[in-house]
Amino acid sequence: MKKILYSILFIVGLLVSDVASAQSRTSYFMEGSYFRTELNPALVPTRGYVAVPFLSGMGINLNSNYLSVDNLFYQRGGQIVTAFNGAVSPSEFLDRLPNRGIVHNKEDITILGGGFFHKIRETNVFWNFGVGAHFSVSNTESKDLFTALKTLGNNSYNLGDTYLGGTLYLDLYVGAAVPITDWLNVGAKAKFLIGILDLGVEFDELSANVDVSKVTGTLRGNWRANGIFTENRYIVDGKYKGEPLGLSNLGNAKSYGFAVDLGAEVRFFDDKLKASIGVTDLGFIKWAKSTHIGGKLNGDFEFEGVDVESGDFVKPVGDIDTDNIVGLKSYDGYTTMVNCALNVGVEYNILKNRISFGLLSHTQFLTKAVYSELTISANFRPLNWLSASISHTFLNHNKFGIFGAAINFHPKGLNLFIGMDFIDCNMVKYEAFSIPRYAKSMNVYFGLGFSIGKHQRLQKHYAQSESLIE
Amino acid sequence: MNLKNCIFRCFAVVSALLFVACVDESYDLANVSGEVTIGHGETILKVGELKRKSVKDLIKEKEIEGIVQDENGNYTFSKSGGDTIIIEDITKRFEVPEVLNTFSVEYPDFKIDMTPIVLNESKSIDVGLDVLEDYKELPDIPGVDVSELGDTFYLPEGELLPVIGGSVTHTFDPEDIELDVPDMIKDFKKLIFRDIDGEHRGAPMLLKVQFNDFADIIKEGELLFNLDVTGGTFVILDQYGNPIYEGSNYENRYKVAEGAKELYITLYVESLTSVNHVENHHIDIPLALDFSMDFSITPKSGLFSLNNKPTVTLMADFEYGDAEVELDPEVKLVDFEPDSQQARSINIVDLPEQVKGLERVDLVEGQSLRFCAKGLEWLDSKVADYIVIEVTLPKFLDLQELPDADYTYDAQEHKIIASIDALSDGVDVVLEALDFGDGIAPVDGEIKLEFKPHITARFRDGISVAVSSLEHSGNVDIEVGIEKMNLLVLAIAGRVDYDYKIEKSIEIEKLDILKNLEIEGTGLSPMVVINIKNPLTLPLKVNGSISDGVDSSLSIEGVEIDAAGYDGSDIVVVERKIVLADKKPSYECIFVPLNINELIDGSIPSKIDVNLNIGVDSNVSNTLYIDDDFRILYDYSLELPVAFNNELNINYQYDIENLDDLFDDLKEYDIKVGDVTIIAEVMNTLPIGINASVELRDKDGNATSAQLEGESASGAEFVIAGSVDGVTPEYTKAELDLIVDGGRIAELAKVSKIHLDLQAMGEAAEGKEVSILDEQYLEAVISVRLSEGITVDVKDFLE
Repeated sequence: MKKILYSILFIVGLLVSDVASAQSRTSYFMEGSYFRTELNPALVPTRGYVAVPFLSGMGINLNSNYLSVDNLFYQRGGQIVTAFNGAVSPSEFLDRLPNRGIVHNKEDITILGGGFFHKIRETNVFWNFGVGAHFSVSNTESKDLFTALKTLGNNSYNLGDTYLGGTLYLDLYVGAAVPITDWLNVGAKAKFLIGILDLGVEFDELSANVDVSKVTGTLRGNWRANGIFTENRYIVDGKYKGEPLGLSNLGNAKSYGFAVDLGAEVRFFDDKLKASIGVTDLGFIKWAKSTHIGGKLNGDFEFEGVDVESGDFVKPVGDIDTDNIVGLKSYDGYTTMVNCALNVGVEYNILKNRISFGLLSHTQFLTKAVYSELTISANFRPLNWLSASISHTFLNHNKFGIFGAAINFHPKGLNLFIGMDFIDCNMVKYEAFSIPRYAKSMNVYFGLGFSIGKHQRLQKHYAQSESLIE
Repeated sequence: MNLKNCIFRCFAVVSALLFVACVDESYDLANVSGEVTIGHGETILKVGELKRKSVKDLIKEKEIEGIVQDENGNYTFSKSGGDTIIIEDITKRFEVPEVLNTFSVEYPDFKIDMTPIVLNESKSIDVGLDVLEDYKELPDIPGVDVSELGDTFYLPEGELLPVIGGSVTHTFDPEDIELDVPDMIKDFKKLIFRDIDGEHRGAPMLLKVQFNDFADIIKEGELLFNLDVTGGTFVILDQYGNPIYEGSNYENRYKVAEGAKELYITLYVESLTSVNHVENHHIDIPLALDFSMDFSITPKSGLFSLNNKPTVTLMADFEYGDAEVELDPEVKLVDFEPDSQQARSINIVDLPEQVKGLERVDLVEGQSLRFCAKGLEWLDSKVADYIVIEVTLPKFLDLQELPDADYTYDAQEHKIIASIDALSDGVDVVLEALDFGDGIAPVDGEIKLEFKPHITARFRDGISVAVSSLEHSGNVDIEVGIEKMNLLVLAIAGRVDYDYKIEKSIEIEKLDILKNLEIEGTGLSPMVVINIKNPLTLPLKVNGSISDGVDSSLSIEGVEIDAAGYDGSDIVVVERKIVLADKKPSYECIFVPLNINELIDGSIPSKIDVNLNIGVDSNVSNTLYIDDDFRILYDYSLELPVAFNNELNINYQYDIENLDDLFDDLKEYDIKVGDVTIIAEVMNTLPIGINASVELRDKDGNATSAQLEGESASGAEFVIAGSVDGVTPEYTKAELDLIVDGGRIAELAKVSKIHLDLQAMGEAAEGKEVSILDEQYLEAVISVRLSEGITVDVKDFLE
C-alpha cells in the first residue's frame, strides 16, 4: 500500500509543481531567463546556471480552451448560478464553448540541471544538461457533453471525441546553442527518455440518443497503462493479481525513448528584429510489451422504460462487456509520441534592446488535439539583472484584460523567476480568494536557480546593451 | 531620470496597474446557487412499456394450463381430472375342488359255454365205372379175354383211357348250437371256433380219401372238393392260419399223385358268420355242412381189380372259441347313482358381499372341467371305445355343446356322453355356466353345491365285439368325478347391491387472476362435465350434488347410466356425460340443471365440489360381466368459455406496492420538475374496455398530496377503449398530469403504493358475445413529458 500511496503523492506533486520555465510563453523573450531554452534550444540565458534540485521551478499550470469562471457561472438577478441553471439559456452557455474542449496539463521538473557558456574557437557555445521529469495530462471532450447536460431532451449526442491520457517520463538531456553567424543561432538538445507511466482512456464511440421511444447509449473504448508499476503477467482471469510496484522500483523501467529539441534564431536589422523557431520534445517513447496492461471498455445501454408487465421500475436494458475490461488477449509493445510543441517567435526591440515586442505562436501537439495560442508580449530589460514581460494570449476566446506577466531577477549568482501567462484583470471572489473570471488557462511559475559565469550574449549587439547598463 | 529608470518606472506602474485588478464583489462564488436544471424545453421520455401482449403470450407466461381453445380458437378455461373407483370385491376366479369318487359297480359275466361238436363220418365213393360197358370197345388186349373180366379188368399200358371218376355227396347235420348269453348281447354275429389243442385258430376239419383198389391204377388224378355251409358263411384257414376262403361254398381242387393210397385235406374253420338274434338270453345257431366231392383219374394200364371202392371220411371238432356279437345299447352295462352320503360338494366361496342372490355364473369361454371315469382300463381300447359312459351332471352345471369334442353333451339332460376310452383318460368339458335357477343366496359369501352325478354305461348301438374282450371277473371299481379346477368367471347374474361415492373438489386455483374480480353479468357460461365410464353391466343411478363450496349448489337426482355391454369377448364400457350447462348442445346432456350461473354467481369460486353416489338397484336381477381390471373410471371437467358480452362489468382494484424504496431517496433532495405529464398510449384489440382511475397512496392507504390528474374533473381517470369485435384495434391516448406541491418531486417520497381502480366493460355490441382469441393483444407505451427539465440542487448531493 505504501508504494501506491507514494506513487499517488508523487503524481499529485507533479501535477501541482511545474518548472516555471516549462512552457511559459511570457518568458520566451526574457533574455535573462535560462528557462527559455525549454521553449527553444537556440535561445540562451545571459548567464550559466545551476538548477536547484526540485526547486528550480514550482507552479500550477492548467491550459484549457473553455474552462473559465465566466463560462461556468452566471449572474442572474443578484444570484450566481451555474451554467446548468435553468435561468441560463442553452445558447448562452453553449455558444461559448468550443466544439472540442481541451484541458491540458504538462508538468516538467528539473531534478538536476545546469548550463554554461564555453568558447570553442571563438565560438561561445552554451551547453546545458540535466535530468528532468515530465508529466503531461491531456483531456478532450465533446461539446455534446455539455449540450446533453444542458439541453437534455429528445436529441442525439455524440460524446465520442473524448480522451483522457497522461504520460510520465524521465529524460536525461544535453544540449547546446551555437551562434553560427552573427545573425543566426541554432540550438539542439538530445534527450534520452525513460518511460515511467503511460495512461490512456480513449473512447472511439460514446454516444447517446434520447428518443421518445427509448434512450440508447453506446460505449466503445479502451484503456491502457504501461510503466514501472505494471506487469501484464500478473493479470489472471481478468484481474490484476500482482502487487503494484512503487516508484522505488525504477529498475523495472523497460520503456525507453528518444527526443530532440531543435531551434534557431535569426536576427535582422542589427539584431532589432529576431525571428525564432523551436521544436521541443520531438520524439517518442517505445513502451515495453511486458508492462503493458489494458482492456476494452465496451458497453451498450438502452432504456425503454419500465417493463410494466414485470413491474421492474429501474432496470434498464444494458450490456457491458465486463469480460475484457481488464486483460487483453495479447499484449504488444507500442510507441507514443512525446507531446511536441512548436514555438515560433518574432521579436522587435527598441531602445537598444531595453524594450522589445514579441509575438509568439505556441502550438502544443497533444495526443488527441492540437492546442494553439498566440501571445504578444512587451519585454522590458531595464537592467542586466532584471527583465520582465507582459503578454496577452490570443485565440481560445481569451478576452482582453487577460495578460501574462513575468519578472526575472538574474543578478550574478542568483536567478529568480516568477510569472503568469493568464492574469485576469476581472476577478471574482470566492470567500477570501480572487479568482480570474475570464481566463480559461492559468499558470503560475516560480523558479529559483544559481547564476554562474559572466554575463554572456550570443547576439552581436550584446556589447551595446552591456555598455548601456554599465 | 535616465532611460533605465524611465523604463523601470514604467514597468513598475504597469505592473501595479495590472495586479490591482478589479474584483467584482457581487460575483461571489461562495454564493453560487446549487440549482441545476437537466434538460431544457419539452422532453418526452419513454418510461415504460407494455409490450404487445397477446392473449396467447399471456396464457403461456402465466402458465394457465387450463386454458384451451376450441376449433374456432375460442378460449375456454378447462380444468379436468379424473379418478378411478376400483371394484375390488368381484373376483373373477373361483376354484372347483376335486370331487373325484370311486364307486364299486357290478360287472356282468360275459362267459359263454358251448358243448363241442364232433363230426366223424365215412362214406364210400360211388365210382361210376362200368368196365364191360365202358371198355368193350377197347382193342383187344393180348392175352386178355375182356369178356371174362368181372370185377377185374385190364387196361392196356400206354393206351389212352377214359377218365375214371366218382363223386360223393353228404350232409352233416349236427345239432344246433345253443348258447346262453348275457343280457346286453343283442345279436350273435359270428361264432368263432378254436382248435381243441389250441395250436391252430379255428376248428380243424379233416377230409380223408382212401382210394383202396383204385390206388393201383391211378396214373394221375384230381379231386374237386366242395363244402357248403347253411345259415351263414364261414372263414376257412389253411394250416398256417391264413384265410383261404370266406363264404358259404368252399371249393378246391387237389392233385392226386400216381399210386396214391390216400388223400388228406385239412381245413380250419375259423368262424361261422351268421346273424342270430338272442332271445331271452338264449340263441340257437343252426349248423349244416354239405359235403360233396368229385374226383377223376387217368388210370395206368394193367389188370386191375376194383372190389374195394374208395371211401371218404370227414372229421371235424367244433369247439367254441369266441363269438362276435352285437350288443344291445338299451341294456346298461353300468347304472350307478351315489347316495347322499357318497355325494361330494362344490363350494363357491369369496363371493362379494354385494352379491345378494346368485342366479347364474357365466364362465369365460374355454373354461373346462375335467371329467374322468377310471377303473375300466383293463378293457381293450377298441372295446372300451364301444362303451359309452353317460354322466348326468347336477342341473347347475351348464356345459357348452361342442361339435368336435370327444364327447357329446345333452344339454337338456345335463348329460355328458363319452366313450369309456375317452373318459378313462379324462374328458375336458367346456363349462359354460353355473345356473342356479331362481337363485341362491350366498351365506357369508359362500354357496355350497352338491355334486352327485348319475353314471351309466352302455354299448353303442350296432357295435360288434368279441365276447372275450368283455369278459371280466368280479366287480369293477369306477372312479368318476371332476378334477380340481380354477374357473374364470365371465359374468354373474343375480341381484347385486353396489354403491360408490365420488367426492371431488375441482380446484380452480389457476384462475387466481379472476378471483378478485367482482364480475357482474359476465356472459360467462361455465360448464361442468362429469364423465362416468361404466364398466359394470349393470345400470347405474347417480344421485348427488355440485356446489361451489359456499352457498350455491345444484342437485343431481336419478341420473341413469346404462349398463355396459358385452360383445362376446370384451365388456363394452358405456360412457355417459353429466353436463351441467345451459349451452354446448353438442354434448349428450342427460342432465341439464338450472342456469349454471346460479352456481357461479358474482365471482369465480375457488373450487367446485362434486358429490355423487353411484349405485345399483338391488331389487332387480342383472347380469354382471366381470373383468380382470374392474374399475369405474370417471373424469370431470370444468369449462369456462372466455367470452364477454356488453354486460360484462368487472371491478378490479389493484395496488402496485412496495414503492417506498423507489421514491424514498427523493425526499432528501430538492428536485423540482415543471409540468410533468404521464402519457399512456394503448392499442387494444381485446373486447374489453377499461375505465381506470389512479391514486397515489401512502403506506396507510391514504391519498397523498402528490396525485395524478386527468382531463376529467373527478381525478386521475382515463379510459382504455376495447375492441367491439375483438379484431379491430382501438387506440387510446390518455394523459395524466402529475400534481405535486411546488413541483417538488420529493413529495413522491410519501407515495407507498399506486392504487388502481379498474372497471372492465364488455365492448361487444348489444346481444353479441365476443370471445377471447389468441391474436388479441394489448400494448401500451407510457411516456413522461417534462416541459422544463428537472431541477436539482447539487448542494444536496454534495452534502
